[in-house]
Amino acid sequence: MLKTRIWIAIIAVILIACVVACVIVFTKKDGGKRVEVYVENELVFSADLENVSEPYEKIIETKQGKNVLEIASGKVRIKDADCDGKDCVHMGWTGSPSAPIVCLPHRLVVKIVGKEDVDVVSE
Amino acid sequence: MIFVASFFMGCESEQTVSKTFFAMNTVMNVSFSGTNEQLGRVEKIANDLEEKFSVTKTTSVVYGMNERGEKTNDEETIALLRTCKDLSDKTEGAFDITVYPIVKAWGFTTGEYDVPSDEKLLSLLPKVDGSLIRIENGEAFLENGAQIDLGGIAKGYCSDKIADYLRAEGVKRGVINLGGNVYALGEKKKGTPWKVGVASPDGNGLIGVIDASDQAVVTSGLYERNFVRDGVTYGHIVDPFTGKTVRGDLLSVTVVGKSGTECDAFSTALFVKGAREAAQTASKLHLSVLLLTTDGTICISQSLKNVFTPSAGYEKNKIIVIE
Repeated sequence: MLKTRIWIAIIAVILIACVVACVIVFTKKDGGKRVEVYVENELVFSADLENVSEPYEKIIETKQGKNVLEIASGKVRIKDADCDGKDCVHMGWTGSPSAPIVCLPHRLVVKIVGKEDVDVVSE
Repeated sequence: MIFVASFFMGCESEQTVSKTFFAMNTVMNVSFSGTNEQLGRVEKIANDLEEKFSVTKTTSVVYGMNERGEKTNDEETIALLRTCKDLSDKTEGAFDITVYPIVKAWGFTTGEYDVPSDEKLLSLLPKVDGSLIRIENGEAFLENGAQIDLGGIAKGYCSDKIADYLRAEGVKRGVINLGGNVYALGEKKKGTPWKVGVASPDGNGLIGVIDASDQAVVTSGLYERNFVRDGVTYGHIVDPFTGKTVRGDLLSVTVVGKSGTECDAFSTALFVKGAREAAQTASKLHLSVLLLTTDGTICISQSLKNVFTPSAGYEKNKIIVIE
């Protein structure tokens, strides 16, 4: 009957929609590795870390001073800073989403975002 | 179709709230399945503890005791001081909060690093004495010029306080990371523990991963705050017996347990003790520890052996199991 066929067609469309939705949601691909720099909890700079052929520098200015970021393939570090102690410089390179670099005097946090291999790092 | 898609997206996860903020002189990140209001309360817990325990804020309880010889009847402070004395006894003095005058002499408080002379250290060592913390008639105070620094235990204590608050609120899962002091609350999802990486001391990746649920994971190492003077690297952990900064045979100490407070204190104390005594103390006190020595040996407690996975760079290292 036409009415039954219409109902079957409607249900089929709904079922296909459910399957497509599941596929979209569960195969969401994570973006590649990126670096994000926050000053006073606000995002001030972001860059891709996957396609870096030559390391390059980026100067981040904060109210309290300056940090020089060096960006290389898959990793980042603070190469220089004018803060006391330069703890952020001594932290060296990071390529892990769970090991951010912090410059406390400048309220600056350098985070790697991308595929997580652990949930958190104890250090 | 949009309705159906959003229905499935909703099914995928509960609301996870997360915040990164500065407190206790470090960066803190808390993430859990709960509300933004609870997140605000968590940040307040950390800030209130900083107000109370800071050695530099002139209005803190600790500053008053240290610099103005004040007595305190604050119950929380007194309880933590009792815990510190108890942990000092358990570690035979390797954990000692009265080491603060020496920490100051090294410049770790201000960042104006210096290498104190042996004479200077000898003059300050008599003040490093846990018995100078007096608790009587509901009050705590310090004698004979003793001064305390809760830096070796405060973050662990704070993580316990946050975890207790979240549990009381019915929060089932979360990760608390206070400047590297980790508390893994609940499980990541049912049947799956949290994966807690242990940082490699060379700054390059991880020693390995510990599976943890409802446990604190605290790591101490030389690679944290340190300074270089005349080609020598000085780490921030001071030996309470000699006044010198620790440079023994341990590169990294990780303690895992139910109490962040204890894990924090023990990780410092075991570092002071060196590998052999650290392993003996861990065995005696039934601690779950992971030690990395300067020759690359990994000493791991029996209780952690099956929940630890070494990372690629450490798979070939010699492993000794501590019974």
